[in-house]
Amino acid sequence: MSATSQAAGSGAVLGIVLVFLLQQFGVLALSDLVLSLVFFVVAAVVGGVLCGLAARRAGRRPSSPG
Amino acid sequence: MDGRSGPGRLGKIVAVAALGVAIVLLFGALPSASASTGRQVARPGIVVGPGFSNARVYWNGQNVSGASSAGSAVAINKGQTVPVLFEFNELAAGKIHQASLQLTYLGVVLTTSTAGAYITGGPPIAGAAMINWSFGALSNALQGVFEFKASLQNSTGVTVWSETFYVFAKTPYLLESGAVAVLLILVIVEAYWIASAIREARKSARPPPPTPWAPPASTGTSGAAPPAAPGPTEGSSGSTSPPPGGAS
Repeated sequence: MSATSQAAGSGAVLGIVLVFLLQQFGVLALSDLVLSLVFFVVAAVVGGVLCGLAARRAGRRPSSPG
Repeated sequence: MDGRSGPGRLGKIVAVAALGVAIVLLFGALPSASASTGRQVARPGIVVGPGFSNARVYWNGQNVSGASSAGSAVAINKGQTVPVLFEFNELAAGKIHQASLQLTYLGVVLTTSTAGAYITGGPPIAGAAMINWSFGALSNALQGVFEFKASLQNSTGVTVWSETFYVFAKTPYLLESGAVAVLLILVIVEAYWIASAIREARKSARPPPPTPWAPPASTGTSGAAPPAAPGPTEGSSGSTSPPPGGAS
């Protein structure tokens, strides 16, 4: 598995966890099923895309040694 | 631990589990959604049946009509028992049989509390019902905003009035809630895996360091071979070759 897909998967999980945390802190109400699923899907897609892009960019740009 | 396979496997497990839960919850929510049809809506969050006048619900003395969103939720502290008072007026005596309070999360009813209704005066006929509500065993695991549905039923169990409101369950210290602690640990683990993936990607993108020049492998028996010089000495290490220019 590439580093990009690994970062994308972890970012998707992180997005879902953050939605639960927002509910715990009183920002979101996850009572309605359909609305909750929308929150989860959007958060997973955003987290996965952002983290995947970050890893892909890091893989393309050579960093200075050390 | 292998940093490449661990997060990927966990991600697949989480995705499959989430899909399964979503399917189960979806099919569980369908009957309740179909059962709620056929009633007239008086105002957002309130459903009123025929032959019924009006009702009010007080959460710890506070009217819940102002708690119709997560931002305006009424509060409850950990371990607190809250009196929930139902007051109603009905068009005919005996119409209201009982009051109930439901906690809903992700479309699933977690708990339901009920209490019998009684007549307090009239005419017009006025009644009330009282429920002492607490999170009970869930108080250590649950924190945050939750949706409650207060409803009044007639003698046949049909809901003639209902109102939805939101409650913010607070704990004295945030980390006392088990769910918050678990979620924070998950955030740290996922952030570590993302950082390790980015570090791995950087490592693979870095050009390989230049290797120091090494002499070709010697075939002789001596230990350290002298640096090879271009020209006639190449390929003759270990042997006594005449210097350039001829031997004397």
